[in-house]
Amino acid sequence: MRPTKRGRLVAMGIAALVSALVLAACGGGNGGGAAAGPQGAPKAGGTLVSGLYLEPLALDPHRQAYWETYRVSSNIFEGLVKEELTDTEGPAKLLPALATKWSVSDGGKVWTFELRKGVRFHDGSEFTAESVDKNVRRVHDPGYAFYDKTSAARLSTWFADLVEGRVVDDHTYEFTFAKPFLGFPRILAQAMSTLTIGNPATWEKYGNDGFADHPSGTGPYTFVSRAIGDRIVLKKNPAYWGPKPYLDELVFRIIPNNQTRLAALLSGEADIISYVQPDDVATLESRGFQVPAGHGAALLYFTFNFKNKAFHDKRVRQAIIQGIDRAQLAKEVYNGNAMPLHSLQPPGNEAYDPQARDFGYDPEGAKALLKEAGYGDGGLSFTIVADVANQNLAEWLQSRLKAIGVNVKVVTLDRPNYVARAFGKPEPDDGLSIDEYGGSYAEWLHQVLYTNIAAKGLDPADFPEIRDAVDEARYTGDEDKRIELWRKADQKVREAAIAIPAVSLTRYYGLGPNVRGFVYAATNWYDLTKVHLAG
Amino acid sequence: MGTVKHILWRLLNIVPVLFVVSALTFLVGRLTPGDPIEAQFARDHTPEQIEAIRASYGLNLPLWEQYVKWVRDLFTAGGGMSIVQNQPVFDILGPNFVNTLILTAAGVVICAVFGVLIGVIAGTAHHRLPDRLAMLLVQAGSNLSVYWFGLILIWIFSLQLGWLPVGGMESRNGGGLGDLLAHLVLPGVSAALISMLVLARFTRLGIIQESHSDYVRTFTSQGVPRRRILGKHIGRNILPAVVNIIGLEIGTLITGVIFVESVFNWPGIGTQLVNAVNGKDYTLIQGGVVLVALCYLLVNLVTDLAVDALNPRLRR
Repeated sequence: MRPTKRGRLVAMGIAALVSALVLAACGGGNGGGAAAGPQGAPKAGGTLVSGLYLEPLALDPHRQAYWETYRVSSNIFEGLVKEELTDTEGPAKLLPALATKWSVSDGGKVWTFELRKGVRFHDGSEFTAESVDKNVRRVHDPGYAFYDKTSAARLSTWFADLVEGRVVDDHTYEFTFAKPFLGFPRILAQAMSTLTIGNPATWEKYGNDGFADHPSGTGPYTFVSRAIGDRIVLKKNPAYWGPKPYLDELVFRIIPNNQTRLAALLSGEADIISYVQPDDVATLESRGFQVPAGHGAALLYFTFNFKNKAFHDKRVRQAIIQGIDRAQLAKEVYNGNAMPLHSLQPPGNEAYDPQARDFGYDPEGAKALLKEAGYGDGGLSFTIVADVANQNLAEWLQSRLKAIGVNVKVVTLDRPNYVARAFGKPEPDDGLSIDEYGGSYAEWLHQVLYTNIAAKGLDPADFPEIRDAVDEARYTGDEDKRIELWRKADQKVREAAIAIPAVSLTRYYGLGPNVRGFVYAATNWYDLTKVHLAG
Repeated sequence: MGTVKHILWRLLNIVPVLFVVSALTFLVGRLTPGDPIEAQFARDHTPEQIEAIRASYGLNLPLWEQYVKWVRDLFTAGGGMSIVQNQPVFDILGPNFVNTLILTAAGVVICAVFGVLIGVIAGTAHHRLPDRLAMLLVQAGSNLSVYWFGLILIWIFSLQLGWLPVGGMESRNGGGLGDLLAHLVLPGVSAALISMLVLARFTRLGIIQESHSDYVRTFTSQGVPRRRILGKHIGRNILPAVVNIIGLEIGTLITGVIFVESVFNWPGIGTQLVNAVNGKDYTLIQGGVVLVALCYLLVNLVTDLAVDALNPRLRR
């Protein structure tokens, strides 16, 4: 009575066949919508519906996580500094936001921000140095009545060295760090673990846990309503200090199913969708939809389990890197929708260097290195632990490593179990795990080493040349040398074969035929204030 | 009086069952690998930061203390804070649960009406063409994947014909009852499909069996019209069984709509539970399971009472 196993197989077979027919039918059509026309004069007004692929998390400037959250919340909250999101090539330029000017003194330890005047929060209250101070105290001062432990823990990534935040006058605020921190302004323009400015009156009224139900900031849009699992509605902030956005209303609908999200765009229920599957790009384009592509500031990378003694030998790590052809990986696993990378600093990052190389593909060299390290053909074996979403990739790696005489077992797990094993308690035989992340800030290199890679058992103290190079870059007081120092640190990481940068995946947004002004900037979110609707 | 006592006794029975369900869900969550804080933060936070965040949610306390706090939160703090969403659990589950009930209700109506209809047509036309056709439909339909069936419905009725919306509960410029009903058709049919066919088989079988019983032969020989035999006697006799099956299928429907919700982007509890499990959001999973279990128990209770009422032999 219930679907039997065989019944399901047959159904799946039919499903595959019909899907192919659907795609063929769609692709063969002569286009349902008009092609993207020339840019006319932007017309203000209208509602934009954006289909998100996952539920955004809390709309709270200090608790927010996930890029999809920031694609919503960046319309409500602003930081002191922002990144210009009109550039498809990185690194994004830094622009004044709630601060008009900033300067650094005491060798990079003291940052002084001149705050914008005449800015009001969504409830009408004025934005002053006092507001910045309450934001700082919420995440840094246990003596503050609204000190938020969870926010403090999240923001300690960048604020652990903060000695003092000080109101200089109504519109000047000063941060003093224990060590020089020249990367600070760009960190302030990021989405997570940073000091985006929320309205203190809101947490003073509703409490720290209640903030996300009444999100309030200074941004171009104000919060209207949220139905979890369904939609978030924002409307234009008439009192916005900056250039007025074109759209009157933004509706973010949560549509996790890839096919349903695509159908919502095709039927006109949505104007923008994120995370378009590469296989659907041709369908959309043939029907007059725009499909901007880009890389964001992220990369897919493999990390060694340093708790497994085999990987204490640099020759083994280098051999694994030499056994993987990243160009072939991009082609075979991602059908070319990926860019091979040889450094942990992804495109879009301020320290990205397209010339950076680690160890090139050399299977013979890899075999020789393994032999030298005492592992003849078939002598080395380990497990690749991967999130189920990366099963294809893990199996591809298994077949490629077989070619250099390494026996690999693949274990795929759902997300929480994957993280528990790869980051928490790896089995002794575990060898590689697969992750994707990144950012536009150079400090990302420090972050990945001290979080992800350290969790896999790497103690930076065991690699003093890396530790010193990273410290030098992070704590330099010389702005002119900063990027160069990060590139040098990255070179040390590459030389020591600490991790395997793999590819930066090409991501696609889908846009309705009448959407104008959308730019796929070289970072992991977008700016909707410049978007308008034609016709 | 006896009935009231019986109902009270059954309601009282729900308490220990819920206690066992809640304790088991709690333990299964904590004792299996994976941790909501680690899953969310391990990628870009140090182990010390992760420990601090865990402590800020009280996840460093002894298990029994966490359980007691959670049970207290169930009654006083909206089910506690979701660890991933940072919102009270019932604020998240409440509106979604109502949406799931709306979808389930639509599924039950479609299942009951069409399931019985198909069963009656097939049963009364036993061994003739309508029966064969209906049984072919039942056989083919029972083997369909709900997920696939839903996507095909969207393709035909939304993308090709443009008659019905692709998903969600409300159109861009819509609202109102008509709009909601339009959005209910495809997910309702998908959700009801399997249960409807199960019901059709039972109804058909019931009619066929009853048709061969002695009392029907007696009535037929006395010249009682067939329609009257079917309506008044056979129908009456198979009704408790049909209600029983519908009751059981409501349980199946509530849990089965999870797939349907995903395909049709119905903002229901299923989507939230899938998210919660993916992020190992303890409080949300626990709250959701208790809610679904409670619903299951209540539906069972109501079904039993209805069957008792319909069956004179069991009447107290």
